[in-house]
Amino acid sequence: MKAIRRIFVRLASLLLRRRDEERLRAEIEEHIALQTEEYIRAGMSAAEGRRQALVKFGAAEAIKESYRDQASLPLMESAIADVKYGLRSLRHSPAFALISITILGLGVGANTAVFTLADTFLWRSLSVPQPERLVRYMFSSAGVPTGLPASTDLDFPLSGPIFDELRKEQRACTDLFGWTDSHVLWAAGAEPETLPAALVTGGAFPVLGIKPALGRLLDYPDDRPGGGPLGWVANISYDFWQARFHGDPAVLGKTLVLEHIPVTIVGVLPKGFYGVLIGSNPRVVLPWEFDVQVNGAGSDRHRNNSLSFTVMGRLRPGVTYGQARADSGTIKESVIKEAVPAKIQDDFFRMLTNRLDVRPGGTGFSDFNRQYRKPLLLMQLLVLAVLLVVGLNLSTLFMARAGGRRHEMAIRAALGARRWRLLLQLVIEGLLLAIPGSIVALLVGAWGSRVLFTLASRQAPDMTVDLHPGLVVLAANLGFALCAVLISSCWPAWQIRRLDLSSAMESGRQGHLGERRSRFVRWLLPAQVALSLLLVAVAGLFVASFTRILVEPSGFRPQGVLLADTNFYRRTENGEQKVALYQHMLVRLRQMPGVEAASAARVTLMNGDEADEPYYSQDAAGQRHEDRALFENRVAPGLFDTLGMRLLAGRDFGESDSEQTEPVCILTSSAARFFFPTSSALGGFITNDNAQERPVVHYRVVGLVSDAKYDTLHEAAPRTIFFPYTQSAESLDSLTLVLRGPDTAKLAAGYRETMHQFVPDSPVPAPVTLQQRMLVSVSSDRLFALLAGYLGGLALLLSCIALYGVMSWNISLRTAEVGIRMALGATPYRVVGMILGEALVVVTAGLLAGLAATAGTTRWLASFLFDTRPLDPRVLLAAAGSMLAATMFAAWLPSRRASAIDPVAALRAE
Amino acid sequence: MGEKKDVQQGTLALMVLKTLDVLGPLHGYGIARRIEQISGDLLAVNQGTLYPLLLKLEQEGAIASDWGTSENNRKARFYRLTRAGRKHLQSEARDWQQTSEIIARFFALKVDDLQ
Repeated sequence: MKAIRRIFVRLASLLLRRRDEERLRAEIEEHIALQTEEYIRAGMSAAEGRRQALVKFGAAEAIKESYRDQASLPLMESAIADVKYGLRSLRHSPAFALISITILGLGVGANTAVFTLADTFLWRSLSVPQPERLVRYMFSSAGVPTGLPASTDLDFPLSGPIFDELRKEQRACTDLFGWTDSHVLWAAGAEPETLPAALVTGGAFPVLGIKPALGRLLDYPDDRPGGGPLGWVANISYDFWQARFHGDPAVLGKTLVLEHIPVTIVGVLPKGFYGVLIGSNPRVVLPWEFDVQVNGAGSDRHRNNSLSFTVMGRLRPGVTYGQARADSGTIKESVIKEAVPAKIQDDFFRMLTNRLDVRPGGTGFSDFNRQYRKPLLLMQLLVLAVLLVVGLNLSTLFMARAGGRRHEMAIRAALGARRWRLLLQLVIEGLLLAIPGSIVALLVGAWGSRVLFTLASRQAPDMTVDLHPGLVVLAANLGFALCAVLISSCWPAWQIRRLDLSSAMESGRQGHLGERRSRFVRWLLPAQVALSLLLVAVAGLFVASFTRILVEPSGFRPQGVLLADTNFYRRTENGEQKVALYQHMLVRLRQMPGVEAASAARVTLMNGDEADEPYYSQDAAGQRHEDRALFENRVAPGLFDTLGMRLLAGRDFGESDSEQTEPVCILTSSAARFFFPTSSALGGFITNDNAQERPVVHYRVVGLVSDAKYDTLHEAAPRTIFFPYTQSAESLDSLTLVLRGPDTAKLAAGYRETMHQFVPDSPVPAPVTLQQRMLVSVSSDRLFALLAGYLGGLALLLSCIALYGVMSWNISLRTAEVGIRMALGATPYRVVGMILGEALVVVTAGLLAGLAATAGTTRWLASFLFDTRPLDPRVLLAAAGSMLAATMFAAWLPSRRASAIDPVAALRAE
Repeated sequence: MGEKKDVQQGTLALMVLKTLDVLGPLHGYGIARRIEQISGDLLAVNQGTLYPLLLKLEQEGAIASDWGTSENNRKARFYRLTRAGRKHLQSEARDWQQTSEIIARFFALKVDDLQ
């Protein structure tokens, strides 16, 4: 207690700066005077008495020192003095300070941004109790050749019947539940609204174990045909509750009319819980049986050809994750055999792998996650590399600067400063840079993650993620920043150990002529150059690959095309009437001003939706060709024209193709070549496989169109078959309207007007241009290209800056040497040449090492990138060339300064 | 009279406190002289070392200081014991008492006492 009190008093006296000095001096004087008087009284002379008194008192100066040490905190005082000194010296070299802070801020900031993104999508856990005990069941095709690019790691959700069977047979979890995204129509008031929703099986919330913010959560009895004991019930999300019901507790028991069915709200989800599908934001959660009530046989609940069940479960206590995997392996066969009709079991066994896989479920499931897990990891590696570069840069800079301080350190050590004292000063100076640098890093990181996330969202408007840098990330980054700076700045003190003080002092500030930097420092620069080159090359590859995607012809002419995904599921007309409805709407649309062409398609393009079925043909030579996953689409007449695909042969569909006439189809040219390799496809027949117990139909090929991409720009244009929408076996509930015109705004207006005219009580989905959709479909690639470009550019910039710093500092130290050379007759030209030459050697060494490293690494990278030859020489040359140019420029500036040195002045300065 | 022994700071502090306790408020010189007197000149105290010690005691709150007038009408700083200081003194005195009793017992030991 006393000690603490003392510290506070000392701190106070330090801060308040009481003039105890004066008081002490007076007291000491007084004391000595009194003692002198006594000695005089005892018989000594005045002078002798005073002398004796002084001796008796002790060494006054030492006493005063000791007093001062007591009075305040000497450590603090010297620390404060160090800070002032540090600030002063930084003010004298503002470039150094600015450079260091910039390097630190940018480098660590980039790291924070990328790590935040990765953390959120890859690692942040669901806000449920014990998320590490959750597992997810799915079909995985990793490692099995499926004819798709090696980079695609396909994870499929399960189907309803498979979920039911799995639930019966599995033994590893207490229970399983299914979850999927959906939409429901809400008759809210004047305008019907479409709400994002989630469908769950009864066990969802009991297994997850979360607690409601209000009321109760859905449970097993609610997920029954016809609803629970109270009919249909639902939970709403916390944000929805706040936004639309103002957080009113009376919302419990309120009825919402969803899909024309009254549903009672029985509870509110906890704040911050958005379901198990990362990136979704369901406003209302309903039992899956509700979907069966709404869609009848069209519901996914009991269909096998729709894989939409994200299945998760909670491990039983004591069961390990490995055991769960083993369990799933043993039951997979029987599950599929029981759940899937015999006719299509083959598909499941063949297309999907022999693995019903189990993965940790604690982080939820997200499309983004599964597709971009690898690239995100790669990005993190890149960022770590940048961090390394940052660290190296800083070290180089500091060590270069430290070289000039050996003289100063030597003098101080000779005067008696202990090593820890010198270290403390260096640490403080390091902190003076590290702290602003960390602040900059935090700002860059926060802003950066926002920017990155905006680019990252594919399903732009509705994607909600709790995006803030996790504490771990922040702490790690700041820790790194501090470590880097501290280690770099303390290096000179380390060197002092081996210092021969007298020679260090003699050598003066300039250093010996011809003195060589330590071996370690000599390796730093090339290492840094090599690493930067690696980064720049990788970045270049990413950018190149992305550009290739964009530039590749998609098969359409996307300019001026508008897409509108209409959805007539809930309409009461029957199938034929719906087709007629679409036909009337198309007629009306074609009449509108600004509409050059209008058509419709079942599968909306560039949206990631796939519809594929098995078809086969028999060519002229009697050979059977079968494609088990032929992409198909049902379209209205005029689609190819609207999209800008070319009709190569035969005819387009027309009004004459109807239910009553002969079944026809149109093939893309690659499909035609596949099914009829030896002859013309026109007039041939394509037959569907009767797997799903559909009637076998022979479609006559009446037209050929050019190849075009289907669901994504990433893959080559697939073989596709088109059918007229009037000849569809299943009822057409939703078609995407496709419009072409010079002004897409006019197209949108025309579309809205038509919708209001024909279907005023249906919601009008917002239309989007084909170009927008194509951009969205590669938005993640854009993201990665941007990130990679940013990182590569950053590495380049950092290297140049650091090189500039090192070189200019070095040259300032060699002023004397340069002066002598010039006095001896070297022209400025030769001086510049000499310095540049040395820089060139260093940089070339680095570039060679970097090229070797790049060659090794990019081979492994190839799997990530779309159609890029890893050792693309153009990219490598560009990277190496830009590095060389940049570093030479960085070396040239200080060398020019060196050549301008006045030899006489330089010699005098020594 | 043997060599003057050096004294540790802790015990010096006690001496200061006790001196102030018995003799009332004193200035620095006075405390130094009294300590010399009481110890019978057996202790060698560099008088100057007293001042940092006085400051330390004041920081701890055991003593307080005020300006006053000394015997020869000069301005001097007088130190006095505080209540906290008095309490500290009393507890220290008890400890010392106990310690010296125990030590005394050991020094009075004879072989047969332990058999």
